[in-house]
Amino acid sequence: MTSASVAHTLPRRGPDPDARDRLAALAPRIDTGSLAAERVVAVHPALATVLPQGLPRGATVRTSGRAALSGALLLAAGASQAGAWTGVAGVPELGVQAAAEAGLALERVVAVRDRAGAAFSDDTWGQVLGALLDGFDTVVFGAATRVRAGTARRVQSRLAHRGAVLLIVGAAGAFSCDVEVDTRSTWEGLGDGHGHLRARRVDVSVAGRRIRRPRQDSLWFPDAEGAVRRVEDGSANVTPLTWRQTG
Amino acid sequence: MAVLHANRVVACSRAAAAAGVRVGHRRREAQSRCPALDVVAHEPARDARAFHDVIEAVAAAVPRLELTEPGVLTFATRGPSRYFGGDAALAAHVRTLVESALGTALRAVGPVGIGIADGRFAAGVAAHRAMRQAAAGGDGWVIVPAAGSATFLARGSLQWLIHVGGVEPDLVGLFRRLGLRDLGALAALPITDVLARFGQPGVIAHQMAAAGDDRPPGTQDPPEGMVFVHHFDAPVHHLESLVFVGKHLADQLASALAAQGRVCTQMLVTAETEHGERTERCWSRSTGLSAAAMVERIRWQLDGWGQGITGDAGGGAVADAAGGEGGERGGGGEDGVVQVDVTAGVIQLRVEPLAVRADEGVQLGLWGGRTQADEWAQRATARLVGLVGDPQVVVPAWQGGRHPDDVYRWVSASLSDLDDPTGRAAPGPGAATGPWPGLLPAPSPAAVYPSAVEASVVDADGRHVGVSGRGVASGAPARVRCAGRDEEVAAWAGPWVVEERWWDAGRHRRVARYQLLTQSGRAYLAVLERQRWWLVAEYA
Repeated sequence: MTSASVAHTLPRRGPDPDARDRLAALAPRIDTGSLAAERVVAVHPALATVLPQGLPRGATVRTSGRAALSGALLLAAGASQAGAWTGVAGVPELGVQAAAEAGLALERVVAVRDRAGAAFSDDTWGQVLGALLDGFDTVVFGAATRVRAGTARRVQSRLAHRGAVLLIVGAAGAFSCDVEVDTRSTWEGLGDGHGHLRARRVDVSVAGRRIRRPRQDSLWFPDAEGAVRRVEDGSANVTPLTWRQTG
Repeated sequence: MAVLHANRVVACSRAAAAAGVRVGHRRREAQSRCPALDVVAHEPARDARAFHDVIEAVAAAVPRLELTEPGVLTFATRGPSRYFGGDAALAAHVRTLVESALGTALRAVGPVGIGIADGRFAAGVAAHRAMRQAAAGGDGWVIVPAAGSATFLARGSLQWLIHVGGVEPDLVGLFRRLGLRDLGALAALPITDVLARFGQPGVIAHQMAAAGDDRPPGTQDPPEGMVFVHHFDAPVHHLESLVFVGKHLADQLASALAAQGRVCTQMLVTAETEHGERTERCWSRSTGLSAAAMVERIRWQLDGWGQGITGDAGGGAVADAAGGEGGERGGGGEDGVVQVDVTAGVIQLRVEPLAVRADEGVQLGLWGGRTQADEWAQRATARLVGLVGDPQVVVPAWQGGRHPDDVYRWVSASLSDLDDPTGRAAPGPGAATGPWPGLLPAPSPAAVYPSAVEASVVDADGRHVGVSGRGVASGAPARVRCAGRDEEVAAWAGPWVVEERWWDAGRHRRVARYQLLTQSGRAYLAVLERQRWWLVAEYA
């Protein structure tokens, strides 16, 4: 850019009605990289209305309600699709197929489970969570009630330092939660002796001290085609299977 | 019996081979040749433990053993053969040692073959020939006269390069397409031409064929002072902790050599306990030992040393029982085969390269490949394995099946290659992807109970709901009681009857499945098996 053209684009003295707009247009170009945007973990597009900013890094997120486990998997799915690794601890009942359907990349899932007869001690859980949070971007944890307050505090300070996201399924125990995700689910497709579970409508409400204002939305998780999407107003429910006489 | 890795047969017993099963077959192909085939998963650590006794027995007679992998043992014969009075006497002695060490396992593994020749490769080929002769009633050893190895190999098939020499099958295939019919033809080529056309791998193959591989080509003595030792502050009893330190040492060694552009082809691993017991093993691999390969060998060595053969598939602790027992030898608890050599914790672990060669390097892919996140996650996984033990850290692997807990299984993270997940988490191109008739449609339950919960399902009149042999239900489920909860059924579907493995009386399974939605909004997958109800999963 020559000096002549610079002089030309400089605002003239006196009031300029376009100055504000032009500054606004220039702002993204001189942006040195938004720190806030880097401090979040991407979420699934269907969750964009309830978590428009994504999940804040370093946060403890608790999911509760009927769809607590699959909700936690859906929250982890956004980062997993973007190449992040997911650690799972204290969820021996994790359904791998459901995790894949929620959008988790299975090749980047590592689970830690305690032996049937020998449950991990509070101390071991502290070490396991510490190691998980060091290496994984999202950690799904289902045994929060088995961790004592002191250990939970240590884990959470490490979490804040490392910038991972801890997803607690069910009771939070001694952990203090930054984001609370509550779910209520209604199943569709199952009749009185016919049909099968086809779709689920999940009402999600998000609140917590690291959320600017509480939000609610309804999702098809999954819809009849197996996809996860928002329930659009006025859209019909999943059409029930027609009863067919056979034989 | 056949050993499968990634759906391919990697080894099979003599009986299976007689039925037509070959290395490289797919599972289905092998089973179609031999329907009674007993299939086991490939697990090098188990082999290493089983082979430990053999190593110990031979080590008592011969110094400086060299191991490539479990099942193959190499040593220099000049000294021992003079001591025992000739090659034949040495071979007979070693054979007796190995056979007595194997004991009852001998019948399962088949005859032992011993080959004596000028180079490692020629000796390997001789040992394989000896094994075949022994199966046909021979004496179990083949001795190639000194300087006669090239003649001995000349008529041999190029296939030996793959099986014994560890040469890439692609390269051997290329040799064959170029008209080289046997090892003699390859050895007859001028080495400079082989180098110009095929590079270093070609030279290695050429030297093997010419029986000139007494020392792998291009190897040199390692630089001075490159010994990595770790002294433990307190004696360590746990295998995992030892392997964790071993991994650290191996990483150091590999990166120190990599900084000079070299790779280790032979290394010496030594561990010593507080009471002065030592294990010292030399591991070699002509294609070079990566850090991961070194760790694997350290694990094999320590595991075998600490445990003897206990038949325990999980990676147990070194000297679990030996810790508090002072001088008393024992522990383990298996009769007859106990061989716990260690009576105290390990205080020193030492890794030393014996031979190195220039690293030709690995060309990394332009796209994809490892990211920082992969690196961190893998480090964290290794740390977790060190913390809570091998079987507790798992990754999902696809296997296929009809039930929610069948489609994927959990495999130990340290036994799977986290770098190369393709084919683990997804059905591979060669795998039997189905269809699985009777598989329930998506969505799948998010919570699959580790062990099914017994329940009771009754109809509106309070009678047990049963399903007849023809798959007809006795009533409609109205209430489900389980673990103290009594819930009303709002909607249900079923029974979907599935009958599995009806050809195998021991594993035959016939179940009727129901989806139950309770008034409170819980959706369960319930099964009825032998007239008992179980909740197996919840759509949570």
